Amino acid sequence: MKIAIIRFPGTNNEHELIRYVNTYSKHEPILITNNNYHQLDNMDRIIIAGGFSYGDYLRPGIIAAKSPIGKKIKELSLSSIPILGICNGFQILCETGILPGVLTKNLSTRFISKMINLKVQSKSPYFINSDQNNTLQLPIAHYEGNYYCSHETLLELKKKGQIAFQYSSPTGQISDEYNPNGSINSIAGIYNADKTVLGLMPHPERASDPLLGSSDGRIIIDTFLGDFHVN
Amino acid sequence: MLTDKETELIEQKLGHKMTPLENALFDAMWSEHISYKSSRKWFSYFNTEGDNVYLGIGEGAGLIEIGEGWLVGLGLESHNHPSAIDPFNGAATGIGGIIRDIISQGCHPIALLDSLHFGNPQTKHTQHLIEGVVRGISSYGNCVGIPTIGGEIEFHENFETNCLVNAMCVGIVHKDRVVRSRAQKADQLLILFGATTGRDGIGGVSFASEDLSSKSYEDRPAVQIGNPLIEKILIDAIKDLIDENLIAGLQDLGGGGLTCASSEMVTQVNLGVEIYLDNIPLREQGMKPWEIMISESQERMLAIVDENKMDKVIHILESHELEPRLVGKVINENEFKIISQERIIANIPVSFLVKGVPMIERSFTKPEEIPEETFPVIADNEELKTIALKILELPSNASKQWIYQQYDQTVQANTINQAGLNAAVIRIPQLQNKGIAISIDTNSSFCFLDPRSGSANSAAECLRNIVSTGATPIGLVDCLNFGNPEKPDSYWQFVEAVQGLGQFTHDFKIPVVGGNVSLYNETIDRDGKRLKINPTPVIGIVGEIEKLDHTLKNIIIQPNSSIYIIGNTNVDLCGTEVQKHFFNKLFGNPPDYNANAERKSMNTILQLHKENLILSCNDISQGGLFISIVEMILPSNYGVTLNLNNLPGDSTQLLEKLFSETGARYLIEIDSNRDIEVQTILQANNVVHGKIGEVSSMHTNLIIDEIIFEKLELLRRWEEGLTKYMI
Repeated sequence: MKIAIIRFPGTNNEHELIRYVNTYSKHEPILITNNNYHQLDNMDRIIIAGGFSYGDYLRPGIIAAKSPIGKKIKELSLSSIPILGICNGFQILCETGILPGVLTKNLSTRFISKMINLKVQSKSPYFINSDQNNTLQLPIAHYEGNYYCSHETLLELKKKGQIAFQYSSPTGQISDEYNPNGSINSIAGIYNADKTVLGLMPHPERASDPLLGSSDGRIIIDTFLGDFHVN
Repeated sequence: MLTDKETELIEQKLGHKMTPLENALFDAMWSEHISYKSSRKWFSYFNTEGDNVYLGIGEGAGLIEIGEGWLVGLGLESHNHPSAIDPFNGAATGIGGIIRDIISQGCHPIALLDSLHFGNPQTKHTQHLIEGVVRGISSYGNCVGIPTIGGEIEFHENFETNCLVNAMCVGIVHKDRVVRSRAQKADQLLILFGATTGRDGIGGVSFASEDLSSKSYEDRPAVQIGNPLIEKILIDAIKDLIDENLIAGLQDLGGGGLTCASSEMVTQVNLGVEIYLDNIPLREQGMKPWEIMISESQERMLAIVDENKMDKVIHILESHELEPRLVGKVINENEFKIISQERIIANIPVSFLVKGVPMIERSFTKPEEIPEETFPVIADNEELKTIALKILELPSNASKQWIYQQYDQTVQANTINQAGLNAAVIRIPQLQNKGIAISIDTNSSFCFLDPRSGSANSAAECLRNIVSTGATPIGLVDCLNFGNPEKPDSYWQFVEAVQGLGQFTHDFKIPVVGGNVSLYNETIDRDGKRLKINPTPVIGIVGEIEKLDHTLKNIIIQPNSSIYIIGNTNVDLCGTEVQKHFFNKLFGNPPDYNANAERKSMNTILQLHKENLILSCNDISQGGLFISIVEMILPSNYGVTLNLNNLPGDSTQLLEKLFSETGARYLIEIDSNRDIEVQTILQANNVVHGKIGEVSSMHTNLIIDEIIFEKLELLRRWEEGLTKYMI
């Protein structure tokens, strides 16, 4: 399979994702930039890497979302190609409208880098389908990861099982104490209605080896890179 | 500012009075910051050689071999004066500058560390500086995508008006891809790319070569403004250029701007250069030639390119929207020629511009000694406990989590030991199961009392951090922060410190591969009183880890294991945390620098680690045995009971045992089933040691002789010590 890894100017997590695909799968990672984005039509999976696309100027993800690549990804999202947006990638998915809601400044108004626990709230065949893991340990590193959406949208997300992950205690309890950034309903990641697109603030690619403190990220990315049949 | 003598020498050589443009060029190139005219001659005390040194002092980064053709690049630089005036932009551009030093050698940057020195965190001014500096580092480093994984932060009143911000960057490059910061032959072209040129940072090097004064706040234009987005794109673009083998030389535009970058690249190979001033893209109107030539606008690089590769280079840089421009050409003549509107507006012998500044012989005298006082005897255990907890919550000893958490520590997915542990450790993914440990450290209190032994001991502290992860030291960089060299007492501190550090580098055969000198860290207050910083030689050491999956942390991990101390604990209370606690000032002789003991302890730790006998390890440095064991317990699930009755060394009172800062000491956790193997190695090494305690599964507290420290209380003091001033 061909795995697109998107790099906007200012994206900075692309190298570890390319290394991830090369190390843990037999697939071919392809770096997609403004200079070769027409190749997106031939990809089997798309990963929007984290970082600071366009310096996060104006507001995180907005310029990337309005760029030709952003528009192309929006078009492809309608054709059910699986898309994973990590951190800034999540912000971009929200700004394109592929995912509902917005990501605003952390409640602390500071950047936060630390290991957190997540409760798996809803599964998807494309991202997490094992019954063994109800909680995951992944690092976060963001300044604007405070998820917000309207009351109606939140009800809709709950109803359709679109809330993928919530910040939690190590045993999966959810409370403000374990919510690092003030996200509504402790939301850390959501799916689109078809569950073919996942956006999340934590970094699964940085939790790929026990040496790094956790290998739980592999559960998500290996599923995403798996040979499931796409309709 | 050029001295009268220097001006006279220049005008004699040129044969005419300097034009404003010529004056600006010489003022920059002959500044202390660029020319090292007060410091250079002392560098001969450093050990700069080693079999593993691929590229030593002199360019952007030192390069050290770590196996299979891979090199680690190191750089360390100060951005003190800009950070004191404008903490956010000063610190941010300090990070940007050191990253560009690393990438100008072809390295991919993989880690950042910082050494920060502030005044009393209880003052509003210091809080403002901390807030700004930390946000500056965080916003720049995070955005470029380099993990900030370590550092040190010290608080002492002598930094109140002149904080220190030193930044270290580490990179990795294969031998085949190394780029040098020099031209090779005439007719090669100079391509400037990156950000445009503006008025920010004009005179930055002169600003760094004078005392700070209240007038300095009017010098804000001398502080540069950073744009980390462009920096990240520079990294991507340079990688593309090197992939296609398109550049012959590369240099970043730092202090002295285009003047310094272009002239240094040609004088190294006895060539000259001509500059096409009108081709330089400007961001402001009406800039004068001298402003353009010495502007320190950030995120600009200068490449040396062969003529037949220029089109490709321009094409790649344009695809990254980096505005490449042909701004000059290498020439055979010994000239630094600036051309504008088809006229030569300056023509100076380039070797004279770069190397003509006379080295300065300065006088140095030892300052007066500070009268000593007597330490109180603390016999009561409750009183000792109160003192210990107070020392734990001193901001220099307390948790720095509030700071580190604002730095992205996991980007690039290679971080093994994060900030706050014994030393930063990162994986080198190109090499199987291999990594490096990095530490940046100094002890300015020791250096204040005795700059010679203090700087050697600062380096020894840094070494112990590295060794306690199981790493073998392979290279060193330094940043020497001192007061005004024109004052004999400040200059004496500098001269002594360089010799002490030099001694260390010979004793341990660790090569110095790079460094920076920051002088004039002094202020004059309203009453005309001199306020100078403690002498602060900041040292960065990198060590090699052979078995990454056996990296040691300073966290107790196994119940019922034994705690050993390596090294003597003598009566060494001067220059220590406990002295600051009792007297709020420094006096007396700081701990001796003992190379033999230090080496013996280091070798023992490394041998024990090689045999897989150590479960966890911490060095004993600032705050003594007490702080060291507390650091090991706080993140652990277990408690520790210590019995210090037979602690090796001269110390007799419990206060001395807990807070002496004698060097060459480590705490190690050992599986008690392997006691005999450990004893055998300790005895074979003839190293001073003692079994002083055990890890308990029954409690989570720290019990020392009869004193019980509850973990929750320790944790609260440690966590709140700094944070209480910062929210």
